[in-house]
Amino acid sequence: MNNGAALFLGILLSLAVSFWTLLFAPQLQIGRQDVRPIEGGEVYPSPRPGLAQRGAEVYRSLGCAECHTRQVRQTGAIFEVHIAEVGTNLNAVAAVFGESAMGTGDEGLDSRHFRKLPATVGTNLTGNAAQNLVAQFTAAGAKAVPMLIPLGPDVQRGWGPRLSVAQDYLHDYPVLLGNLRLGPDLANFGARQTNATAIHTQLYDSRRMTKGSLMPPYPFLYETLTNGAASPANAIVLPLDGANAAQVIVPSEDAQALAAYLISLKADAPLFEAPRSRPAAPAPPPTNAPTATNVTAAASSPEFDGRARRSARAESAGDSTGFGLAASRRARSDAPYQDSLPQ
Amino acid sequence: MSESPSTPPKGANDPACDLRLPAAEIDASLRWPVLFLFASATAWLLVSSILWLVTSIKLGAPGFLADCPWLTFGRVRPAAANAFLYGFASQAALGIMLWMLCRLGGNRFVFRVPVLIATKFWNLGVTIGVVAILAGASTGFEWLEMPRYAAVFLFVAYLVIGLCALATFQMRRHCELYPSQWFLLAALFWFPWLYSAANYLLLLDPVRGTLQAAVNAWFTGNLTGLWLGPVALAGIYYFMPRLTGQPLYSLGLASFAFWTTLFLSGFAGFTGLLGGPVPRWMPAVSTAANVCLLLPLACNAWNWHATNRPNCDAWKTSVLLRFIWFGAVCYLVAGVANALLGFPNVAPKTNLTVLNIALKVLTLHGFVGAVSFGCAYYVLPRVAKVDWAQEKLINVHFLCTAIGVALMVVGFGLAGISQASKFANPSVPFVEAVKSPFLALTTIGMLLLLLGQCAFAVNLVKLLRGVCVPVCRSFCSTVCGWMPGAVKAEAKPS
Repeated sequence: MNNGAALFLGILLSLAVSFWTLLFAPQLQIGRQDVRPIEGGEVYPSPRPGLAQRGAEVYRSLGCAECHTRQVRQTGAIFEVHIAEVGTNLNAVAAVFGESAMGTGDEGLDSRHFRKLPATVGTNLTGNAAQNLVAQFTAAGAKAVPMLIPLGPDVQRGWGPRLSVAQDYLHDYPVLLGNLRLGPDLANFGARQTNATAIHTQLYDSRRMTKGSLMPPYPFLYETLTNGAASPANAIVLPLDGANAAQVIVPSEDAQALAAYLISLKADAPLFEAPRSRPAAPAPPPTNAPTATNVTAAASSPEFDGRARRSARAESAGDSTGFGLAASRRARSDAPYQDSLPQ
Repeated sequence: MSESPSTPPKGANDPACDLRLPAAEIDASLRWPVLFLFASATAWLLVSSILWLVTSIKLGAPGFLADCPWLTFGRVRPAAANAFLYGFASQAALGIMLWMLCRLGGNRFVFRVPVLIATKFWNLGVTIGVVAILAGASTGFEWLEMPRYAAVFLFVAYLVIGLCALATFQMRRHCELYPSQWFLLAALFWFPWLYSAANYLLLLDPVRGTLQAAVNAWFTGNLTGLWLGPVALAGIYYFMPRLTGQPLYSLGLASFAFWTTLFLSGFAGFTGLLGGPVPRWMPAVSTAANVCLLLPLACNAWNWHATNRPNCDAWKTSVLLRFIWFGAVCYLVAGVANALLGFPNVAPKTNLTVLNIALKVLTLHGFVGAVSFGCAYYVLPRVAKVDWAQEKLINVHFLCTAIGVALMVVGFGLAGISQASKFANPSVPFVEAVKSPFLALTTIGMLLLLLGQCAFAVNLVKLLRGVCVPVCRSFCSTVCGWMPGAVKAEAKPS
């Protein structure tokens, strides 16, 4: 191999192959993604407000992404079937339930299961099993709703209700996925923390909020007021905490922008490629009957990967039925996603 | 220092196309560029190690130096990485590349002035870049954190040095190509391509969404796989035969390893995105490439082993060979670990833990670092025509490097495994899951590495003084000979 020209051509070919395969092909695949409408007439993702936009610069500049990832991962998904309304024939519904995997076969016990609605009648199901179960309960006159529950340690830690997908990052520059988790994932931080004071306390001295936290304090983002100084409106009083004396701190503009950015971090809209059934807040009782047929139509093909758009529709139907699923979710022992919204 | 046999590391010799100049003449022509590259590389190495040490201490004590925004963890860590990659590793690679291209081509180095000026600009670029990162102007892209205005310096400086290296290669007086030259040539072309493509797609005309993460992974994977890696492989292929005094076992194996490495490495960088929000096929391609890369790995290992076999005690007498072997072993271990940790059922659990730092330490400090030091210990006294002042320090350096890298890799590795298992279990609170007692090992390892690097720096300073003092004296005596002080200084040593 003494031919310099051949060597050069070989090297050039290796450059070209790697470039076209790994930079150009994905550009064709997802490079032209754009915002798209989701349920409720919104487009996703929506652009960040101005202050949050500035906060993104602070986030990048301080290197937050060195320790915090912004990608929720999911190991799989299961289906559950919930009963929203029993309908007129409780006995028939209880009989169907008695024959299912969760039922006991004892008539009394099975009918007592439906005293409190919504009731979970099937869990840990595949798409087809959920579809069958929904069909059986619908035949018995009940209103059954299939629920898609993403699984995985990230989801169970409450970092996000579903996996992160490319669509979530369309408005970001730079996209800071992060490659090391020394702190919790922040992809969906704004959904679990909306309290700016708590965020400022965390930033000023993380150990006041989390014992043994590895997060460095950022005192340079705050001005500490000495006793007697007039406090501006946005001053935060840090309470007496063990060795730490009570303090009054005033967040700088950077700190306010950073907090606004953190609160703006939300990636939980159900998407075609990242479906989930949104736990709905209790809504007024439903009246429109056609949703039931809608649900059945959706449930006829609830494959996790391909038919997710339909399951999203099913979910909106579920919402309109006024399904108080958030409560039932929390009640489950292995509650996958806990909305821990601090007040 | 054991003087190696003067046999060329080549098997066959064709007298018709072998017009090589004497080695001493070649070395003399390279003196200033190579010395300057290595001197600045060493300075950046110390900067990088001190910054790394700061981050390492911060991992245990988050409040350490937290009052200063310039020294916050998120800024110091990328600054340390950039100082290492562009300050140390790339400059050392350029030094090795120029020297080896001249030696193997048998020609003098004629581009001293442009390369010296370009090296100054390179260092200016790295300085601006590192200061900008510490000041908060980081771009946020791993290993490309330097802002545009610093990257331009690096790119232009590289173009000058790279063109000079290419011209030097074209002017070779020995037409037969040795494996080291293949690897050097590949690195020579890959770096500007990588650096410009990644900077263009991330900073000048950014691609949208998670493609940025994909471009970034492509860059980080290839920076080690096709820029620093091939230069270090060239070093191993050159010094393994030279220091053992044996011809290379097989050119065919080397050729196979070269082409497979070249084509597969370009696909290998995406396993860090497994489980992340990019198209699934991309990390899948990387998983396959990482497994296929075991093939050239095995070829290289066998080739080196077989070259070494007839003189298998050589490492006992030559500390340089120990550096080269240590680098080679780190390369092999890192390759196997990359393949194993790239599997789709493993990577999503491990690729957000400190295990990936263990891999980087193994590749950068172990493989690239150790081979660069081995080369530097051989090259520098020859181009400077001054021996190393203290041979003992070389041994200290080797021990510190070997133990330091081992401690860091074991520390980050065990901590990473513990993190991976605890991250997967949501009942363990996250704060507890991150912590691991093994992280303390890495601070000790970094301290040892720094100690070894200081030993290298001390030796290098003495060597540079040995080169510069006579030059300065003769300069003074000719230019300012009328100054009484200069005359006195000239008179004293004689």
